[in-house]
Parts: sequence; structure tokens; C-alpha cells
Amino acid sequence: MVIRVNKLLRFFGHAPDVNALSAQLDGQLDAVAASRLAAHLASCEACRAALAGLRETRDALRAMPELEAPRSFRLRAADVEPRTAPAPSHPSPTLRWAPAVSAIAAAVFVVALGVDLRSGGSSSSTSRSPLAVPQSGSAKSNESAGAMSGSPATDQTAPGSIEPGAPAAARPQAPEPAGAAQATLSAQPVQPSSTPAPAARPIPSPTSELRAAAGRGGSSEGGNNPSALRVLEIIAGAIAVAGGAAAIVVRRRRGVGP
Amino acid sequence: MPDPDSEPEVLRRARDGDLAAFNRLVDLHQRAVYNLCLRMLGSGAAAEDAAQDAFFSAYRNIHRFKGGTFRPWLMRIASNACIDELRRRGRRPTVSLQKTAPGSDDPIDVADTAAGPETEALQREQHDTVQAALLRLPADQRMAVVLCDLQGFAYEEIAEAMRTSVGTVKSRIARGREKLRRELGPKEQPGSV
Repeated sequence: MVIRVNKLLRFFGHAPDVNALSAQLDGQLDAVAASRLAAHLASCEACRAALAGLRETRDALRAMPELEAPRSFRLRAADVEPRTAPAPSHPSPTLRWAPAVSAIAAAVFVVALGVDLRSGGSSSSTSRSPLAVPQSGSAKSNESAGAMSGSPATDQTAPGSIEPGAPAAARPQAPEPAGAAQATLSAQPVQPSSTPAPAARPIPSPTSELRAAAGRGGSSEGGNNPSALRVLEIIAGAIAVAGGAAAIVVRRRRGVGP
Repeated sequence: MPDPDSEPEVLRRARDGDLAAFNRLVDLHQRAVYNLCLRMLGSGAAAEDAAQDAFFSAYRNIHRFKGGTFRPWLMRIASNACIDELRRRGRRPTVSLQKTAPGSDDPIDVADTAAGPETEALQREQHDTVQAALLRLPADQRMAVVLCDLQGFAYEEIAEAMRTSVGTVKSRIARGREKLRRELGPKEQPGSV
């Protein structure tokens, strides 16, 4: 590397330019820079001392012995994979189909999960509907129990102000905080999971509501489907994971080599 | 007809997967690789492991060698093996400053570096001191200094081995030497080197 003369001189002050001095030691300065450096060294004690120190350091490094390798580092055939060998042996048919099986199982898992969530979401939304309606009785019971005090619903509705046969639209639509809904839910272990009650529909008892839900023509709210879905999810998920792991193993085996 | 024992011909066979040819290259360069690892890591056992890892890595990747000079390419792999080892340790290898203080009689913990040919006690002490000072350099400066002053690489070869520019190599060598000069200076006796 050639050091530019002007750069060399610019750095030459009281602080020696170590880069230039080190390069000079290795013969990396061009003739012009080297001659200028020599002229500078003739009149600069600090740079002469620095150069001498660098030279001693370099000589000390060069005097370090090069040791013999303590052993041979030759590679043994048993330790290395043949780089030019063809692809490793084909995996067993089971492993060969593992990625496809895993993908199908994953798809089944996703579909089952989606159906499950959808049914769970609809049931939760339906179960939320009655809570959106001020349940004066339950709210009052909560209030009296100290679970929720100051609920707007309890302020606007009086116990028993909603008759069982009153239309849902006629009910006060006072907003109720989610906390109140939770409290109401906890106060009523079995909530009717129906949509807002149609007009002239009496508020069903929990037992009758469950019966009605069970009788709704095998819909997703049926009693056995969620558990069947769960089983399907678990099986599909397990197959997907196992198949994925097998696929990774197969890929790694194929990856060995060049 | 090319000389079958020439390095280019051996390299060609090694690239074709000839393990025996690759081991010829190992024979040619294992001393330099081991010493580079030794000076970088300061421990004979660690240097052996790093050198062996370097040759394994070189064998696995020799098909990527696109020609040119083999030695810088191999040294780059060896330096990577050393850096991996330093990272694995989580810190730069350090030795106690007290042990290397001028006048200290305690030998530094680089006894492996002093093994080998019989040397005078003073020379051994000097070598230990220089090795300890080397280990306190930043890894990039240490690598540049070792390749330049201990391995005799040209600046261009060092730049190739370290995958950097010649200007950066020059700077690393200069800064490394300057730090070593400051560390070794007080103990240096006139005419002792």
C-alpha cells in the first residue's frame, strides 16, 4: 500500500504517524514517501523513537518460534462424509410421505380449529346477548352481594321491571360494562345461550333453553360435536407435528454432503 | 503434463473429493494453521481443536474455492474457527496483568506456546510475555499482526484472508504493533531481542 506524501506529512507533527512508520517497516511506502519520511526522521526524535520501538516489537514477534503441530490433522474417511457421493439413501416410504401427510393433517387441524372457534364464537356471542340486556334481577343480586356496585343497569331498572313476556326491544338498552357482564355471568352459572328473545317469547329457564339448543337439528351447538372436533384437532395436530418432524429429519439427511 | 504433486493439481483432486489429495494439503499447511490458532487462542488444546475444525470446514467447502492462492483461503477458514472459539468462550482470552507485569516471576498460562524446541529461559520468558500481550489485542488486530509478523503474509494476502481492504490491514497491523510496543516497551532491554 502506498502512502500519499501529503497525507503522511499532514499527520507528522509531534505525534508520530504510526501507520506510516509501520508501513515503512514493511516496505509499503513508495520511494517519495520513504525519502520524505527519512528526512523527517532525521530531525524528529519522537518519530525515530517510535520507529525504533515498532521495529523492536516486530522483531520480537518474528522471534516467536513456530511450533510443530502436536499431531496430524489429516482427516479420516470415517470422519467425513463423501462429498461427491450421490444423494444419500432414499428415506423409507413412510418418511418420504411424511411432508404430504403432515400438510394434510395440518390442513385438517386448521379447518377443525376454525369450525371449533366459529361454533365457540357464535355460542359466546349468543350467550353474550342476554347479558347485554339489563338483567335486573341478576344485577340487583350482584349489587346486593357487593359484586358490582353503581352499575348503570341497576340504577335504571328496578327489580322485576321487565316482565317475562316483554319484547326485547322494549327493554332498557342501558350500556353495561363488561365487568358487569362478567359479574352477571358468574352469578348465573347456566346462562341461556339463545339469541335475543323474540317478541312474546318468555324468558326460558336454563333447563328448557338447553333442551331447545340440543333439539336444534344437530347444529354446531350440539352436545357431541365440540368434543368430536377437539378430538379431531388433537389427532390432526399430533399427526401434523409428527409428520413435520419426520420431514425435517428427511431434509437434514438429504442436506448432508456438498 | 501437470506435475501430480504440484499444489494446483493436488487442489484439483481435492476439489473432486479425493480425500488423500486433501490430506496432502493438510500436511503442507497444518503447521501454519496450528500456529495461527495457537497465537490467536493462547492454548495448545484450543488451538488443536480449532485447527481440526478448520480442516474439516475446509474439506466440506473446498468445492467453493474458486482458485487463486490456497493459503489465504485456508487461513481465512482457520481464523473463522478461532473467532468461533473466542465467541464460544464469550470473551477474549485474557491473562492476568499481574502475571505479565515486568519483573513478575509467575509464568503466564500459555505453557503450550513455550513447548517445542529447547530455548533459553530468557527467550522463553520473552516469548511468554509477547504471547500474553498478543492475547490482549483485539481479535482483528491480533489476526493481522500474527499473519504479518509471525506467518509472513503479504498485506494483500492478509486482506484476502481477513476479507477486508489492504488499507484496513495496514491500519490494524500498525495499531496492533503500537499497542504491543507500549506493553512490551518497559520490559524490553536494549539488545535483548
